[in-house]
Amino acid sequence: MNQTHPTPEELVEYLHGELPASHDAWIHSHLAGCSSCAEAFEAEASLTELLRAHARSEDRDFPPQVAAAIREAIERPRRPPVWESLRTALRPVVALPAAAAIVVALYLGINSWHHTPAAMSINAAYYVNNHAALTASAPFAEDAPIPAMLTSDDTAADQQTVAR
Amino acid sequence: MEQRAFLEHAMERYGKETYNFAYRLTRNEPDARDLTQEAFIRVFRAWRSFKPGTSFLSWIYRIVTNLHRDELRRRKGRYQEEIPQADEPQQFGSGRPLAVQPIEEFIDGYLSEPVSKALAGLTAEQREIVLLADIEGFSYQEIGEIVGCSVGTVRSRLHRARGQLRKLVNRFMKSSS
Repeated sequence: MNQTHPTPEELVEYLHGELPASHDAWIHSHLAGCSSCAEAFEAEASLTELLRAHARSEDRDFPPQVAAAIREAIERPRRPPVWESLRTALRPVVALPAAAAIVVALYLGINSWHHTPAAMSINAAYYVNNHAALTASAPFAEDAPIPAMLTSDDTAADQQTVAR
Repeated sequence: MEQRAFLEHAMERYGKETYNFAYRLTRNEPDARDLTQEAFIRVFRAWRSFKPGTSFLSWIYRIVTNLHRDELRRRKGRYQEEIPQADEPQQFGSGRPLAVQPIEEFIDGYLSEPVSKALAGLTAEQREIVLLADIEGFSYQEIGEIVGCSVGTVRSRLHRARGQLRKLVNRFMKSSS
């Protein structure tokens, strides 16, 4: 051991029995022959003794009302923590119908959101009129049928074409 | 019921130590009662996690220490006692005039009061370490496990805490004489 005197930290560790055996033995023998270190050690030991005496002086019994409150608290049904409620909610018997309902709702929701209007139907009269217009000998003559595609009134054109 | 029997045994065997440790940490009875109650409720709920052959006291002290820290954080250290000024008049023991106090009570009060005030003057962290090392007699390894730090940190915190404690005890002793 190259040290001449133990440090204050070592004295506290010696007091608490925290040093390895060889170091402990060295301090033990050092204290026997060094009055200043012995005095410093006594100061540390007396602080610990003071703390223990203080602890003994204010020692209290376990209050019976605390034991009663503990018994009462453990018998009271406690509110399950959030994760436990979540786990209950995710049991297959609950989760599967819920998941199915969510899928259906999502499908219907998405479907109505992205609803594209049905393709415009073209009725047969259109083709008849169109054909009549294309096959007319003088399409721009006064009595030529007005192609349905150029009129806004389909019904009138239909009637005209049918009449001819 | 096995769980219930475990709790009853724990309260009977360690209730007093746990309550006293909680009292020394909090420095007041209502908080010590709440802390002890909550600690035993946690023990009851987590009883299966206790490993037979390990120290029950270390386990419950760890619970108490953590609960105390949570409570301090919640209250932001509000209920920590003020450090009295050295020149403040001190009233020791039961508060009766010294002439009518029995001598043992006077000695207890004389020694105990400055120590009590000095302990109250430490930070919660320092107080934990001093109580565990010097009063409860745990090893540094056990203290590290209870408060959740390394042995090296225990060593350095303990050294600082004892230095601070010595200063405060001397100050309160002087002011009382």
